[in-house]
Amino acid sequence: MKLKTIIPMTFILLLSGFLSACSDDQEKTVEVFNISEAEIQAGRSLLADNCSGCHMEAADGTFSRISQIRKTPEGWDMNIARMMIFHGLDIEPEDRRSLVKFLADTQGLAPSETAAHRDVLERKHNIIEQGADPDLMAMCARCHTYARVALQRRDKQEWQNLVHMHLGQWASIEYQMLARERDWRADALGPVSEQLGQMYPLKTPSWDEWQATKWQDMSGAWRMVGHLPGMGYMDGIMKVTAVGGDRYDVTYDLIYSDGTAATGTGKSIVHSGYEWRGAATLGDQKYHQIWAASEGGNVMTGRFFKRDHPEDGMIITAWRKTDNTDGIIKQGIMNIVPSALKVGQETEIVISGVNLSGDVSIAGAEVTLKSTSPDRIVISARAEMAGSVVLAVGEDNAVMNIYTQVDYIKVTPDYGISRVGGGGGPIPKVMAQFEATGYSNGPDGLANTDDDISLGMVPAAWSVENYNAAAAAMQDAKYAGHITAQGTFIPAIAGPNSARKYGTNNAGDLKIIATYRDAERILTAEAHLIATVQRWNNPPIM
Amino acid sequence: MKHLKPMNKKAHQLTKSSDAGSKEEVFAMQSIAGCTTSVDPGWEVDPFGGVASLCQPMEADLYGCSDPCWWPAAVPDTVNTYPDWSKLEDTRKNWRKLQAVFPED
Repeated sequence: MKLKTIIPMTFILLLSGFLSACSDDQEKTVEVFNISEAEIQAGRSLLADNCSGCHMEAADGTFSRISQIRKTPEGWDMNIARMMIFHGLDIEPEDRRSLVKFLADTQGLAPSETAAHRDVLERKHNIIEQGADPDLMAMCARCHTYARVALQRRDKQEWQNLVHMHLGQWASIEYQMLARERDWRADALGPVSEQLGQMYPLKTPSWDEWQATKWQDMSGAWRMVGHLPGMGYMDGIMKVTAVGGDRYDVTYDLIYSDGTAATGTGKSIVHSGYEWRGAATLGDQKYHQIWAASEGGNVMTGRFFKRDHPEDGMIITAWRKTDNTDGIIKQGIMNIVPSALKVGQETEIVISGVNLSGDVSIAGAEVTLKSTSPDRIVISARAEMAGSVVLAVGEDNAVMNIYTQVDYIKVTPDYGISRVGGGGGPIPKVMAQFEATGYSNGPDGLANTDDDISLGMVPAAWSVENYNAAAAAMQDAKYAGHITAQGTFIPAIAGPNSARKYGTNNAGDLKIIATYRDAERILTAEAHLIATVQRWNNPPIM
Repeated sequence: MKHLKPMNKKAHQLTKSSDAGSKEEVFAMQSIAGCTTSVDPGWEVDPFGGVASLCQPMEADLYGCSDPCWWPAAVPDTVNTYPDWSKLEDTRKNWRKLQAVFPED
């Protein structure tokens, strides 16, 4: 008995204790969805067994410190890791996983509370955090991501406790640049804690509403499309079978744009009703997934990345095609590759989706059907006039851009980072993946204006140069690594290099150059790469 | 800064950069998410957005900065959190023994 269980008063009191601030009228009438009595009992036992040695258990069922915060699954896992490191907590891996599950379900974050920081949660590489208060960035994000802060919920008193922990643990925190110029302690405990308590309070309508929403079972057959930066697309099927406790067995059947196929199996778990976390093995490669389900549970988005190289992964959209009982749940066009068609050039186009049927057309273009199935249609198309037109498959349609030439290209990311690794040491290299995107100037004929049209990834030749005179003097381009034909920068090995001046590391300040040839025209674009040193502290939220 | 005079090459560079307005651009928290930007110097990126002014090879004096918790989010601090991490005698020779510290599940 799980969903929509009317739970006895004792458990209502327990749960309200976890949320610490439930009002009296809620205690009398609350209907708790999604979490069973047995799960609440098991979670409380785990807390009592593993945490109550230090965290006082009050008569109302709350535990000091623990019950006053909410976090993502990764945030809770980092909390437990911190207790292991700081205080010698000895916990079985299975209990650690169960505690993360229980805490993320009962004291998690709502979808709207994580939406702004999913890039960091998904371990996307080379993200520049934008838009946060500069003072909070200087206070917190000079050492770690701002997302690590913004993915927590606490009231002022608890933010102050977190400041005290930082002061006690890291002796030089007040003396670092961006701290020593101010009365750091007074600011952190005063206005900053006040501000964080207002911005990210423990109790929010979003979380209350999400807890009162029925969390969906994720079973069924899912269509997946993905983009591998610099490489191409992925198209696949995922079959999901529930095994209880929001856990699932999963099979994968994928095909990549270069024609290679991959199959595999995995196990996944859903935290907080929408946070899909998967571990999968495809061939001999192990992968992790950090995805978020939509509120209705029929769409998932996120990243699918190599376990040992989180920087190497694809961006995924998955639609539930069928569940285990009904017909088609969500249908339509999911992806078109390439997304743009060049005038006068016969081009093969792959249309991926769910339950695709009917005539295929592109307004103003000749279309030849090459293969068709409900999931995937391959056509060949040729157009003679540029413009944004409709691509239709039966009653489903999407926009297709037809262009005469690539006017300019851009490289993403425009500022990236890689890290040395290997060389006999335990820390692997962190690579940097670049991609060149073509653009049309759009109706105004001017580059870099709002009406420019992205034409998707273009095949580019890649090269590396020293970024500036200092880099040239140190011969950074010679020592820091090399770039592959697919735009993957592979850094050099870690450790001092006796061949370099001062025996310095194989770090470098580099220019990454993409060159694209469009008939007689040669287009180039550049990015900046910091090829730098390794790090030894690699928690899931950096 | 008006009462301070640059004494060495790096200080001259900083002053020049500050006067030109470029220093603010690079340490105005625009670094890549997760990079430690306590830029005196930072761990990954120097005040100019590059690597030329970092303490490298970092193995030469690793504990000199990691002991007092200079970049604890990236490099284990050895005062309170990871006391055993600084037991290597010569990181320039023994850097391969430095292990990652986050306890994976």
